[in-house]
Amino acid sequence: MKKFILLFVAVALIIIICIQFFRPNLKNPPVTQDFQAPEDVKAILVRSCYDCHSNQTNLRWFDQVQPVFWQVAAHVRDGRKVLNFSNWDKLAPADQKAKLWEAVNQIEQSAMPIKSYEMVHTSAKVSAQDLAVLKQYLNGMVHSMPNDTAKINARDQQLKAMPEALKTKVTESLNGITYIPDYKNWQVISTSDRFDNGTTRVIYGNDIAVKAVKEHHINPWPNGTIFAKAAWDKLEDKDGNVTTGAFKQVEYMIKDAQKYKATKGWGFARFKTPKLVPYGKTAMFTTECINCHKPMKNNDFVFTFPIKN
Amino acid sequence: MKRLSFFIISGLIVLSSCEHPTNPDQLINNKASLPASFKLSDLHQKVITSFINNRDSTMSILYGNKQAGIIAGKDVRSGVPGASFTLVTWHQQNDPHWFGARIPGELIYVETLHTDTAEDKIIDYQKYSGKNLVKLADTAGRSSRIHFILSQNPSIIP
Ligand code: HEC
Ligand code: HEC
Repeated sequence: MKKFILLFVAVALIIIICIQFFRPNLKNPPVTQDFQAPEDVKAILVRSCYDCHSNQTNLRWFDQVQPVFWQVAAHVRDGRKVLNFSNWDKLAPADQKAKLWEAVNQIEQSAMPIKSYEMVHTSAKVSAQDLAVLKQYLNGMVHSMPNDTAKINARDQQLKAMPEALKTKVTESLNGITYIPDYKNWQVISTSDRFDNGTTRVIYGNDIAVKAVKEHHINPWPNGTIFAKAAWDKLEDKDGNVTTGAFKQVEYMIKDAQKYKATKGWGFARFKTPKLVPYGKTAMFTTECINCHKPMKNNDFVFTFPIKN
Repeated sequence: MKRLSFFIISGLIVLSSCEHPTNPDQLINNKASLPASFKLSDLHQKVITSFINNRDSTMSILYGNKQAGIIAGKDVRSGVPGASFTLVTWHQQNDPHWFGARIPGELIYVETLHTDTAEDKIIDYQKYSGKNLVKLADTAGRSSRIHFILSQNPSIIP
């Protein structure tokens, strides 16, 4: 018996030693433009996020022991793909801002840094105080712009083009979901004032969604649930009255646990401007939707707190 | 002793990494909800527009029937009989799920407005207040509210 255990341990040891020689190829590509921010803000992100979200990855020896190293390398590769502070110039200014708000939200909802990483790299933990510093930085980027002529013009242009735009044929997104015009007849389940990006939204639910809200059967949401979220520019006057400006987009989430298994049970689609141009360069655009909705995984990936009407 | 603490620690790790679905009751926005007796959803009115008042930190949605959709924003009181509007107004609250968003908090009031079915100018305006939407007998500022509701431009909703 003892012999067997010894043999087993020996074999395991040999395997572990052998796999040390199969190492993922993890390099630090050049930094094209590093993210810039006040020192305290930057320090937090460098300490907590740069290992996976920059080209300045600094792995400790224990990250490089196999088989852990494979996982670490996969995290770094995937992390860089979705957010890379070393290629900050690759993002348009509006997208840079959006990524920062998303980053702080991922921290607040305890989705980032990744838990398994944080457990080992305890210094990567973002404290409540750090989070407050980050939030204050973002709040400082919010400016109200009364009577914004560019936005007023954008709305007027859309109004002028309206009858033409409405003739648009049925549009389909790359994952095969078509625009659903009927959302305009659905009930409202909430509205949202997005001061992070200067838009306002109305969130509609179809009959199945509304019934589920009335019965509190919303976690998980039943199959057949559809949400539509419409977004507009915020137009503010000098008295602080905000009305809707140009129509930005309508987005859908369609619940079908079987059909959309690969995307957490939801079919995602987004159609932009009154021309309803499908969003996304490839069908993989849904990864973006899911990554941002992921911190809501305990709520069936839904952010909205529905209102009963 | 060592073994005991090992069990406690591993127990804690298992517990803390275990994810529980949130109780649906905590996900309903109760303070912003309308009382079931008001039956707004049974009216099947459509969204005409939504707006925010930054000074008061309130947000509103204006609904209406088909006729209301036709006269919305024109501030006319006659011409299209049978128009029916519903305006719901809430205090804003920070969205606990998204730093960067404000969502409806306490329900403040609901106002309804009906133009007469006859070609007449008579308008029925009512105001309901608070969580239980108690009908107010005194509708001070009535005419300015009617003007306000009728002058809201419809949103672009393709
Ligand atoms: C151990 C590696 C790792 C660390 C450390 C880490 N992340 Fe991530 N992050 C990832 C990976 C991998 C993804 C891809 C999606 C997923 O797996 O959740 C990701 C996704 C994200 C996304 C979604 C991006 C998108 O648009 O799809 C954001 C935002 C984000 N991380 C922010 C942060 C912030 C902020 C920090 C630091 C506080 C951080 N991450 C630390 C690995 C990491
Ligand atoms: C950067 C983060 C982010 C990304 C990326 C994102 N969403 Fe969302 N989504 C939100 C937030 C926050 C809400 C809550 C409503 C609000 O305030 O806008 C939301 C709400 C929604 C809703 C209403 C139901 C709910 O969950 O509350 C739909 C439908 C939706 N998103 C669709 C999409 C689609 C489709 C995509 C991808 C094309 C997408 N979202 C990508 C952040 C995101």
